[in-house]
Amino acid sequence: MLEVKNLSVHYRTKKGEVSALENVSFSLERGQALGLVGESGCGKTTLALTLMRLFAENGYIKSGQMLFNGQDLVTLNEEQMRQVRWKGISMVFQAAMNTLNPVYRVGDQIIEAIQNHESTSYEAARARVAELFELVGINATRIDSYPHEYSGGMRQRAVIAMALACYPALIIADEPTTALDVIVQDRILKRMDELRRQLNMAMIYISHDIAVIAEVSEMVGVMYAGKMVEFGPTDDIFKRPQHPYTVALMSSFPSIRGEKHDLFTIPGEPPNLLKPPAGCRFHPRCPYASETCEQSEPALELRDERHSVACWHPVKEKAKVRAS
Amino acid sequence: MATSVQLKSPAAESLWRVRLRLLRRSFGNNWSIFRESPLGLAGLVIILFYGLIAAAYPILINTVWDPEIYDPKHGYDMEQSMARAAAGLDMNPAPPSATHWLGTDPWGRDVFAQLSFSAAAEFFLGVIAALITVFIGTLVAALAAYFGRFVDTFFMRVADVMLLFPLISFFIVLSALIEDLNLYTLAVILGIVHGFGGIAIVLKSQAMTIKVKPFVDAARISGGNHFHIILSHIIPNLLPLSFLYMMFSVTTAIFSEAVLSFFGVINVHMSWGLMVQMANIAGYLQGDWMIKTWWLFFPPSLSITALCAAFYLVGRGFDEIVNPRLRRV
Amino acid sequence: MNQALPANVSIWVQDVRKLFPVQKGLFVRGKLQHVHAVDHLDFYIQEGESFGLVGESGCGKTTTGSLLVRLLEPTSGHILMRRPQVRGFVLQQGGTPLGAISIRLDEEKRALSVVAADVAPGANPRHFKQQADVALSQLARKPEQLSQVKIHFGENGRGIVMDHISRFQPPSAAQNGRGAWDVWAQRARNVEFMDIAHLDGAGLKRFRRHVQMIFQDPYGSLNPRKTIYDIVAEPLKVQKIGTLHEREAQVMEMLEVVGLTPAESFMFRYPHELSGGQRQRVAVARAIIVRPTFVVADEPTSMLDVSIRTGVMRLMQNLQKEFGISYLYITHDLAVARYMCERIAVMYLGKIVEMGPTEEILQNPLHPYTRALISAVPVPDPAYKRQPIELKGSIPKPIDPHPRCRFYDRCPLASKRCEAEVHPALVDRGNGHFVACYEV
Repeated sequence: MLEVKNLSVHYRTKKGEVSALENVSFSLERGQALGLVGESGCGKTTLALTLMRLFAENGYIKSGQMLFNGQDLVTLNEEQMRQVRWKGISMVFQAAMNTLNPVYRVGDQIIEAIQNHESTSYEAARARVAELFELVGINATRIDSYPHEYSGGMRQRAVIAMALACYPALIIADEPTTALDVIVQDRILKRMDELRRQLNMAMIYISHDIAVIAEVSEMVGVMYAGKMVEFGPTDDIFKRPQHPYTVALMSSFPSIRGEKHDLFTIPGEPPNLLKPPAGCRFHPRCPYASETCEQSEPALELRDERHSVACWHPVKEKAKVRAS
Repeated sequence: MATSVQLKSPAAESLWRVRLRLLRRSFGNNWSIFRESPLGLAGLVIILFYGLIAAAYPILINTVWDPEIYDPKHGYDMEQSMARAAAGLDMNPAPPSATHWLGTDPWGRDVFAQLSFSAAAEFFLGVIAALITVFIGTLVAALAAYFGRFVDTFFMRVADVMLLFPLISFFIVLSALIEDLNLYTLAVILGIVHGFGGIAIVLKSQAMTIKVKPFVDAARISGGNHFHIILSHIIPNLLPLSFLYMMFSVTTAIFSEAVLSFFGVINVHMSWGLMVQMANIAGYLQGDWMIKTWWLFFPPSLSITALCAAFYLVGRGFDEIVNPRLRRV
Repeated sequence: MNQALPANVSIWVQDVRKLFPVQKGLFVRGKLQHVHAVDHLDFYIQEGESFGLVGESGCGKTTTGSLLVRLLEPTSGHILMRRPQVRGFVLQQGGTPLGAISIRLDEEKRALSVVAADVAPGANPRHFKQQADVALSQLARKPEQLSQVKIHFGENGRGIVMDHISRFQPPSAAQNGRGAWDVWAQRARNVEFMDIAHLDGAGLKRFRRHVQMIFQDPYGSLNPRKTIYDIVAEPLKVQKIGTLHEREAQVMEMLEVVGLTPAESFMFRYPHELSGGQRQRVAVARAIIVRPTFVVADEPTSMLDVSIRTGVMRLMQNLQKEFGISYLYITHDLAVARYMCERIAVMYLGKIVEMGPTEEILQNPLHPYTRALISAVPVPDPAYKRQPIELKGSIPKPIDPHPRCRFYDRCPLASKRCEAEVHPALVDRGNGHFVACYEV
């Protein structure tokens, strides 16, 4: 349903061009849940905004294609893109709780979203909002409340309802539960998964928390410094991570279950995207880096069934990073 | 991690030299940001222009100009007046000529000399008043925000009063009470009145956002008392905004002086406002006299507008430095 | 809390409450309501220990942290901090208490001095003084003994025993907090422990040398207009420690210790030139530079990138070992608490509902809230099938709460007893595992 091929997005700044995404490729089927994991600056939010063609003024798509149901979103003009937005692809933004306008009632904001993209009457739109609220688990009597009267979890649900408003085929959720308490987070993630199955929607979850990604996604994409470094089924990625960054990331997450292991620290810092390192972007921090890594960028290659890695020296055995 | 870390020698340079270097660096940074703003640069150009004009008077009066003729208050060009009388023209005001670049006013005094002399006075007035305003405004804002409750309410009510203050009436009364209401006194009074007024309110809300920042808590936990926190943390973070508002204060001060001079309330040696006032009482602002003797009205009034605007524009240029969010990426 | 404390307690929170009045509009009928941010809090932290405070938003953990550093003043209760180098003992002979005595060890001069001495009721004052002198002279020869909880002095076959004051049972609830023994032993305890709850002025400033805080936000906790040197040196300057040169040297040393090397290149940079992880290291340097005994860390890594987090966490652990600091580690992330803390307390609506050794609590949670919380934490293993425990409702605001158990409205085990009785007290179920619940 969605196929991204060699997508590159740059931002023009006074200091030069920032390479936010470089040659990113992946695909997503109907109703599938994809998790994008990575740290700040890896490009996951840029990717989400690019799919919606909503990036800032100084950003532009340098190359690549985004095929959504056969249509290349890169080539659409603004009017055509508006047709796709919200009806084909919609988004739950980061810190979504703050994207509700505090001076309008919540119900009205969702009705406005519906009416902007479809020609429906006010009553029909309002009825749909009641339906959506039931879907996400908000009491329908709260349609006319203001955002500040909602709790944090309710606001998040409201924003999810807004994203669902036109029953899109794909929802992108950028850190949907980061600001929520863990019990509320659990409920919301569960509900989102139920909705996905119920409505046969595809979802892209973006998070820095691999625990959340492990639980909600079927496929996982690991991003680093604007590149997709590993991609594959969740089970595979967690059981047999092959890219050294993925391996290191897994080892640096504490977990309340299982054996209490020593946490690994990845040395160094994420690179400056104005002048990313030559060759593989991870090589300055990689314990396995060789000369090839400094000179040429590895491409995302299929290693096992559905599992691709972009590395010259993928890790063969399970998750044993040599602490340098 | 080493258990016993060797004490390295202290920083190679002395602290004040380092701070000087840092100051120069930040100045350079700010300048390169300011440079990008067309408004700011325009304002700066105008200010420099008037700076030159202000510098013209002391240079010229000590070199080529004859003080008898070119003194802004008492000068009189006998020669020219005679020549004009002989030609059957009004002696004064005389239109611009080679000797009097902007002509003469109804009392025979050189208009350019007046303009130039006043420019310096305006700068002086504006800057003094603005400095006082900012000093008082920042202090009031920091105290009101930090101590809250009674102090806050008190200063905010004072600010309300100042905002509603009828400046003109006040100065009319004041001019009757004070014998010599000159530029200096005016600058001080304007500074104080504005300092407790609107600027205090604006800076106070900024100070309130600073007060709740974690680094203020950290300073408290380190053992800092109230005054340490105010002086060392709140005020330095207010200064960029204060400085910005100082630019706007200059505008207000110059303009206030112009209005007060126009009402003849203050006792200045010479100022642009006074120039307009004198043209007015001599009747040269009525009907088409304003155009016919344009050199009486337009130079001072345009100068007031220009200099006020210039400081405002510089303030807008500063806005980008002070509010990084406004910078264009 | 009904238990004798271990001898190396560093901070002891007793029955602390913090109430905030609820702001109502200008015209309000009825009496003022209060938010019970922290209610009857009882716990202790040992020397060199990392104590975790976990809970969701609104549970009072941040307020507790602020109370311990005295950013806030408790509405009631005591926060006792052990004075360094002062120990209180009860002298006993043949099982009978003779009196209480407080001794201070001046490290520089290696001298012992008696700070307070009180005779026990029924004991002979002269006898007490005699035995005290004997004990002191022996201790003067071997001052290391001071850190023991029980010191024996044999003298003419009639052994004197010095028991550390903390080994005495606090009076039971029935005695209403005052027993005959308490009056004479109270001073020994008070001298060793300083109550910081209502300190102010010079005493508060002196206290600030011993307790510091690391904040959550690496961007907001550093003054953007100050250099790194200024920021790290501030505690020294404010406390008037050292000359300018000495401070510079100390700051350089501290920057190296926290991993910001080479120190010279960091000294005169501004916070906006540093990354999040580096800024947090500066915050750590600032907290440690006065060599505090106790540091409150309020979610220090939650705003950092994952790969940076572990570095800062490891730094904090190393510093703890090197400088013997205790931590109050506040976090909402149970996984991080597991890694960083030896003991944790789970808070809900201003009260501690469960407390004990971290592994014990995580493997064997007893309180229904703890169990629900643990069951909701996502696990980075797709093969693990979590069984989340459903809780009805959401976290209420603790405004003038009902005296019964705070968790009653949401608890799956709620019973008639829970509805009728007051909020359960924390009871030791063995192994130092405390639970406040009637039903488990």
